[in-house]
Amino acid sequence: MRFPRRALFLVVLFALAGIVAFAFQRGFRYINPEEDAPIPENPTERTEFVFARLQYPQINIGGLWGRRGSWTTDYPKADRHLTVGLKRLSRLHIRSMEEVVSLDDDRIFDYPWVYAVEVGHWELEDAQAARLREYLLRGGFLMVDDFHGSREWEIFTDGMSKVFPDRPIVDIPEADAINHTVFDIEDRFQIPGIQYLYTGREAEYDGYVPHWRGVYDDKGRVMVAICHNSDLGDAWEHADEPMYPEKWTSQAYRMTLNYIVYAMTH
Amino acid sequence: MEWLFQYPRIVFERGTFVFLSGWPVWLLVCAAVAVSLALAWRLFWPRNDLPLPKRIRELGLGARLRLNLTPRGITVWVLQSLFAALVLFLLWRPGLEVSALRSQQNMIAVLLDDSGSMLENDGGETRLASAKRVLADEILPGLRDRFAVKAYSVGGGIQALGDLSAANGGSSASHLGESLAQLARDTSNLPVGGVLLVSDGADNRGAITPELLATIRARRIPIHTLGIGRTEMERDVEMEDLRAAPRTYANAKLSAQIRLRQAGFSGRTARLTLKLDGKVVANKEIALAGDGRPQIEEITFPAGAAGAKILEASIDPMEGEPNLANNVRRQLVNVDPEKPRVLYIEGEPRWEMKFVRRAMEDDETLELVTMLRTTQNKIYRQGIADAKELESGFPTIPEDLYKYSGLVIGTLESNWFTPSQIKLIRQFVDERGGGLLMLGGRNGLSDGGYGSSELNGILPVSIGTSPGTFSRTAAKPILTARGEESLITRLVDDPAENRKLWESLPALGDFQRVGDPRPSAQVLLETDPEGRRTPLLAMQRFGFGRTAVFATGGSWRWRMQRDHKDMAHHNFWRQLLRWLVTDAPRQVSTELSEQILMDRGDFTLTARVRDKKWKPVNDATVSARMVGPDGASTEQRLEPVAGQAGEYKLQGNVALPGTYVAEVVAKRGAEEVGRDTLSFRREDGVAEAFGRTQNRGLLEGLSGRTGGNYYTVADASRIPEEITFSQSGLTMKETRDLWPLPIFFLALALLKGAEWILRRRWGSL
Repeated sequence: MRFPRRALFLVVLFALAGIVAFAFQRGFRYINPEEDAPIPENPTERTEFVFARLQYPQINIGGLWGRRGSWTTDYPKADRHLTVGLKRLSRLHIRSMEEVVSLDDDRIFDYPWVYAVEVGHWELEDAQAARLREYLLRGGFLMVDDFHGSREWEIFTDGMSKVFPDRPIVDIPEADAINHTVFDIEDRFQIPGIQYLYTGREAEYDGYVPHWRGVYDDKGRVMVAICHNSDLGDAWEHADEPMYPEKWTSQAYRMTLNYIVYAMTH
Repeated sequence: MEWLFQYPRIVFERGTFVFLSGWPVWLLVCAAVAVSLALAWRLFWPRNDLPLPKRIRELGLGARLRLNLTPRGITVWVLQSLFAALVLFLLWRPGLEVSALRSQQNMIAVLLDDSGSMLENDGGETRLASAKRVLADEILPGLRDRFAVKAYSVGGGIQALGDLSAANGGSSASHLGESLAQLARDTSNLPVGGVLLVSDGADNRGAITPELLATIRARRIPIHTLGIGRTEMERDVEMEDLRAAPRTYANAKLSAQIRLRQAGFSGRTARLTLKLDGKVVANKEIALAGDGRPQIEEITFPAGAAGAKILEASIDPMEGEPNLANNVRRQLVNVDPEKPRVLYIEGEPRWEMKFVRRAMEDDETLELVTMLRTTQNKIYRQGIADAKELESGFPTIPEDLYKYSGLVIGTLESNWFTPSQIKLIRQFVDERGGGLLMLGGRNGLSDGGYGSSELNGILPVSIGTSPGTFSRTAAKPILTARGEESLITRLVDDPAENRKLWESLPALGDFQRVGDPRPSAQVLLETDPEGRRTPLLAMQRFGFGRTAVFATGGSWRWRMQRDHKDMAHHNFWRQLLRWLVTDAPRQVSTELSEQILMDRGDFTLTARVRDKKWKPVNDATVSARMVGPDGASTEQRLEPVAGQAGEYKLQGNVALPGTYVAEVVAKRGAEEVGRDTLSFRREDGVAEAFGRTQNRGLLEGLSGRTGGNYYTVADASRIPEEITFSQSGLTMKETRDLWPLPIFFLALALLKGAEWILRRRWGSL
């Protein structure tokens, strides 16, 4: 029997509608990764620590980042490389697969650690800023990375001033516990991104001087760790790139492990 | 009914049953059986004219034996057999062997309460007058016929009473415990056959200690009590007792237990107020229980800053209440300035540690020191006093571990510890008196191998040896009935609100299944994520210390899932860790016999001195410097107690009413072992306002626990005879025949009478 063309059209239409509806369900996020990274083993294992990446809205920029969202930079290879490294270097019980969380729902409160990249492009709505503030005050920890120069700094601080209008951003002194939880990091140097291999320049824009800054809570604990003019994400991601200098990768891994253990102890 | 048994009840209670005929008991049994069979033969031998009951026919038994079994015949046979058995029983001469005091060879001590409450007028005459009258008319003449009677008055101690009229109710309180102890000492070489205490049991400020009771029981001296005074209260609210921890840490949350009793205000609402150094720290409205019924109320309060403080509980005066002086009770609370330290060790980074640390950061009660294994060989320490602390890892010697009062072990394999460290942890609880809390985790409890370690035996729940008990599954905490009462799980004061709060708490991130609780354990929280309940938070005392299991590592969600101002998580952890170290002794720990000396000045101060390994120190010089309410300072030496290693005592006396602060210092040569400070208070003119009704419970308890009897004035005349039956003093065995007891003859008559009536009614069998 010949299948009526009209009926076939309806079936296809409903199927497509179903797929779209399913894609918008909680927990399912279709993200075009920056590059392929294999699904790691045991990706849904229930662990103590999960590397959570923050999805945020961004300022209107065009090009590839405008389509993908700047929050996906280095995603997911950087995250998965990092987890492998952290597993090897520490006793952290960490899931091999990262988790993407947004500021639009309360799921973020299940993950007291969250990483945000390219925050020189973020643009937080008031409700999102309020949720992030509440998250940090409850004990959550935010690490921001890979934004460079004075213009991106301004955009970042615009967002942070919505989160904490009265809380200053200050330099984290070398003696702060965050630099000594696992490794004693006394020499904090700039960690350039992969662009160094193409341009030969360590700095991006006018971000020549690395800044290791933070926002502290009332008890003197770092709530937000800010890596300005450095790109630790690239250092994790390109740990297996022969041309990328090892000392930057090693430093990035050491610093991140310090930050995570700090977040889990302070 | 007593005439049926001929002898006083005490003879049956104390006596041993014997047969006086000397014939063997088996013969009695055989004779009874033989007579019974003979009767059966006579009654049931086949007679063809009688029909068999249906059931017997169905069994075929009767058909085979051809017996004439009928219900009437069986009834008669039972009655006749019982009659015959009873006759045989009496022929064997049943009797009672009872220990009785030898006449004129024993002493009976009569103690007459001489406290102020005996001057209470209970309708016509005072209690003291009533006691004297009953003694003179009904008791003493009968006793003097048989025994040497020595009378004493009971007040601050005992005093020989040549004449009853010398007792005038002049003592402020009766101090029964001390009086009995003194009597036991003074009469240790005398044949004391018994003690008769004539008292209202009120105004008793001396504790009747288990040691005193043991001494009295060892000498088998029965203390008989004659209760004087009305047992019903007048229209009054009386605060009978106030109890709170006498020693605590700064800003700790304490619970005060108040026992009160009332008459005439049943169902009315009253305001209960708690003050600390005159400042109101808590209050609540209570509904008064029924007349005469004891009522227990619990109220929590903050201990505040360090120092010796007076805790006062009071009930607002009720309308028309005549006696207001007994609406108030006081106690001292010593708030310690030193913070106990708790060591918390985790085998891997966990969110639980972060949030527990945050909970304790603002807590001024104790210090939290943490060790975290960040890598295989690195340990990150926080809260340490200096760089040297825990530098070499987990303590391996008592001196290092015993610095802490509490220990928390998280997800850390048991084999990470050496066997000697595991042993040390056990001793830490058992001997040092520290608190051990074990948390759930993928390497905690069973999954960490603790089921086969020495620590399993000291935990409040059994731990299996199989792994796989830890699950990262959401688990809701369920507050148990015990948990509703506990200060640890009381997140808000109101019990109903507290229950609601627990129900609203987010699920834990994980849980660990544990075994059954031990018999002495208390389970405060449970969970049932798989439909099967399992203890979540359980605790118990072990040795000198205490242990607890909190079978999860996921309580941090109570912090991240609730508003940042919400304190449920922080309060829970603060209360749990405070509980863990409460009562953990110091190297020098002191205690007083009583903190409030009511109308008296004598006290006993005990100090226990331990070295850094917590071994008793017997060669210390221990002194107490006391500063009185007038600012005068005295120094007194505490003497070692024979047979009690490391224990020192001072029997002291203070004259002035007011607060005293004592600093006890123990030294070994020039080296100080440790010191402790405590306070106490003397209050005069308050004892007589309390306990104005007869404390029958105390008197009954005292006589019951020493083998004596409690008597009321109405049955006082039985005392002279019944006091004879005693195992104390010089006794002889008396035998009392039982066969002449009217009860037996009555039973025989009833059996025969019943048979006669039945035969008359039935005509034939």
